[in-house]
Formats: sequence, structure tokens, C-alpha cells
Amino acid sequence: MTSEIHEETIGAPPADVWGFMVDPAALSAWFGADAWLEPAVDAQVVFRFADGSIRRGVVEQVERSRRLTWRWREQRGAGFALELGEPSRVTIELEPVPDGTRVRITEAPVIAASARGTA
Amino acid sequence: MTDPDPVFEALADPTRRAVIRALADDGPTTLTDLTRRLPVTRQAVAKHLAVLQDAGLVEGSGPVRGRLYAFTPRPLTDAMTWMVDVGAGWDERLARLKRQVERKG
Repeated sequence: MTSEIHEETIGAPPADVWGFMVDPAALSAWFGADAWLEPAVDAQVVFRFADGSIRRGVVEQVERSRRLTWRWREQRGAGFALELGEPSRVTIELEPVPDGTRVRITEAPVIAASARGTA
Repeated sequence: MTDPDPVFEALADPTRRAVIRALADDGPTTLTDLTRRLPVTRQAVAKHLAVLQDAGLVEGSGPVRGRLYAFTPRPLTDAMTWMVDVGAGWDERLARLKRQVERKG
């Protein structure tokens, strides 16, 4: 997996966009998955996708209206048939700009991020 | 993966969805039996069955009289895969986030 960076400018202040990160119902709606995320470091995150796959992980960074980071990995099956995907780190950064909020989402393999000393 | 367009077109009609539901729930059945269970004419059911067959969602077997129609769900799986792929990328998520935040504001 390579690092992915996606950006979008949203016509609303960062505090409004932040509300869509930390409310599970709002998060689920834009994420396209049944999402559970509590904005607290070390809290569990669970995303259940329409194709039946599940991604679980843990919140790593919470800076209100600025930054949310979690680490996750895909889980398929259960018990002896449990398969785990490659762990990756998702960082959502909100930056105030004249038009509203610049949202930058980065997803990167956890190994590479650790090598850069950001883990 | 097959072209999902005929599948979405087939599913866009409530009577055709009712036909699929009936076949999926109760197994292969005849045009006569389907007509009895749906609030539309025999001719209309026959037309809907033809559209569903073109989309690969229904297959007919046996002689014309008393032909059995069965639900074949494979194209639905392809259409669902298509929907999941389209909705699963970060760019699609960001676009949805933008729409939803700006609609609320």
C-alpha cells in the first residue's frame, strides 16, 4: 500500500467540519460505512462496510477542529478463519482557509510512518 | 464484471422489484401464478419478466405454456460491487463530506 493524500475545500469553518468527524451518525453518512469512533486517544474505532468487511483500530491523535488520526486494519472472517489486512494510519487535518476549511486526508502504511519517526 | 446499467434499469420499477421479491422468496413460478400475486395485468407481468430476463435477473425454463421463471441473483452481486467500489474511495468520501457539511450550513 502506498500513501494516499486527498484534499477538498469545504465552505464551512473547521469547527463545523469537526462535528462531522466526531459524531458517529454524521461520520457514517459521509464515510459510507457504519462507523463508530469516539474522539479520545486510545479509543476503539470500528467501520463496517457495505461489502461486509470490517476495519478496526484505535484513535491516536485528537486535536479538536484541527487533526484526527487513527490506526486501523481490515478484518475478514472470524475465529480460526480470521484474516487481518495491512495496518494503515488515517490522518484527517482541518486547516482554516478564506473559503472555509481545507480538509486533507492521508492514509499511509503504519510501517512506513514508523520509519519516519511519526509513530 | 458485466455492465450494471440493465440491472439498475430493471430495478428502477416497483413492479419488477416485486417480481424479484416474489421469485426470491418463493422460488421458480409461472406467469399465471405471478399475475395472481401482483396487482397488474398478465400482459404487464410478461413485459416486466422480459426486462428482467434481458438484465439477467430472471431465467425462464420449460415449454412456453407453464414456463417456470426463476430469480438469478448474480447480476445483483455485480451491481452491488459496482456501488461499493464507487462509494468506497477517499475522494468520494470527501465529496460526500463537502455536500453534507455545506447543506447543513
